[in-house]
Amino acid sequence: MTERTSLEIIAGYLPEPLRAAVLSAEAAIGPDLTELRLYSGQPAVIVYPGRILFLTRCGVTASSANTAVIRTSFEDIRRTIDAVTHYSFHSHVNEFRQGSFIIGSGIRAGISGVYNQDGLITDVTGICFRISRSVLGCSADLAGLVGGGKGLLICGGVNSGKTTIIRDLCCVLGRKRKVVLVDERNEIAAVSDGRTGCDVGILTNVLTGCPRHIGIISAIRSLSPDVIICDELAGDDDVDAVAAGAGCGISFCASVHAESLEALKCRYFAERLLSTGLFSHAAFLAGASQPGRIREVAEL
Amino acid sequence: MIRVFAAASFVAAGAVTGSALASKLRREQRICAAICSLFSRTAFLVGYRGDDVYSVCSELRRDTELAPLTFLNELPETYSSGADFRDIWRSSVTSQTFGAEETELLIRLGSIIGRSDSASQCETIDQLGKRAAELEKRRADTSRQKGRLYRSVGLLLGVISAILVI
Repeated sequence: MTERTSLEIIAGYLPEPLRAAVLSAEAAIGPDLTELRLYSGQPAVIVYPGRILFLTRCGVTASSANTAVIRTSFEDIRRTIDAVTHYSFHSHVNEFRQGSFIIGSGIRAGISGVYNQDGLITDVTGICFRISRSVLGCSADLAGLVGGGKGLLICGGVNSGKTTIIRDLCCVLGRKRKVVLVDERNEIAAVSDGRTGCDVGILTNVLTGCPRHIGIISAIRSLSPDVIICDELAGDDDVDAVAAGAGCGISFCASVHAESLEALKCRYFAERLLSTGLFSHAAFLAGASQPGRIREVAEL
Repeated sequence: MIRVFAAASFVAAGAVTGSALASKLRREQRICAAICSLFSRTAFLVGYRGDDVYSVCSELRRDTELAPLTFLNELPETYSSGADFRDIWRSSVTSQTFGAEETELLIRLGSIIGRSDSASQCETIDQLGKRAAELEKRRADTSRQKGRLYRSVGLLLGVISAILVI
């Protein structure tokens, strides 16, 4: 049996005629797409690194004004959400709260819409299918910077490939050392049905679905890791949890939204984070046009 | 001799017909009881375990108490691209020969399952369960009263026919 492509997996969750259009345009779309975006009442969008195309009945076009573009209706969005959740809202309440689903093989479906009073997105108006990339070896130059209680920050803007680098670091470090991956939104390991959707290393324990700071504390207390890896440090709770690992001999590796050292130092929690002394280097990524490429490594 | 044989046949036919009508009523009551069990079992699987609809179907199919609800065997146990779970539920229910009220209750369950959070679903399933319990009571009363009547009238008509033949 041949393995299904990411696009075929996504198409499996789309209603007709969207599914037929995606499958018939698969050759024209090619393997490099990073996202398929659906907006209520708008054309279906195919996103590549550095360019955007629109889905038509027989392929793709660069112009949203082309009369052949496929527009997604609110009903299409509703039926896609039904399929992604396996017709079970109640089993995916956390995902509706976080606005993101894992649909297998590392593919994430982010949603936008109206939050209700319980903090759940109910009226979904847009879906963004993101295809995770495993770029083997992209963190080869960084793996040596993690260890002996010294850690690494992966810094970059949106779509710069932070998650790709983190995933590869997990894979590389997890072959030799005890690694705990704290994956709050399940974006790195893409755990589904008890299996990881991406290779994150044989010695890697994955904690997912819990707030990051709780996962970090839990990992320190119960999993005796050499390295803790997590995505997107973003607040005081996270810094407190990381600080709890100081003096335990644990090395941390985490990503942060920041395009430069100056931008990093401007983040309100940066001073406390850097003062823990747990991070010796920061790697800055090139940007959305070259996802996963390291621009520079700075000593902190 | 032929007349005696014919008379006996008429009596037997009357008794069997009456009994068949009575067992049809008992079957309706059993189906209603199974629907009540279906609601309480579904509420448990959705509310306590948080199972998705395919796991719920899988569990329900294995429950021997729900055996009279043969439509459960037509429900999918895994997601399949292009197959709308709610459409399958509806067509599976309507393809059966349930009474109108039973059909309406089952279709209603199919339309609400998986649509909201566990608490809301359990609340609605509980209300449906109460309606099903009332329906079961009505079916039980009907089965008790009319069942006896059908058996007696069937036998009586058989005997009358037998007397006329003789």
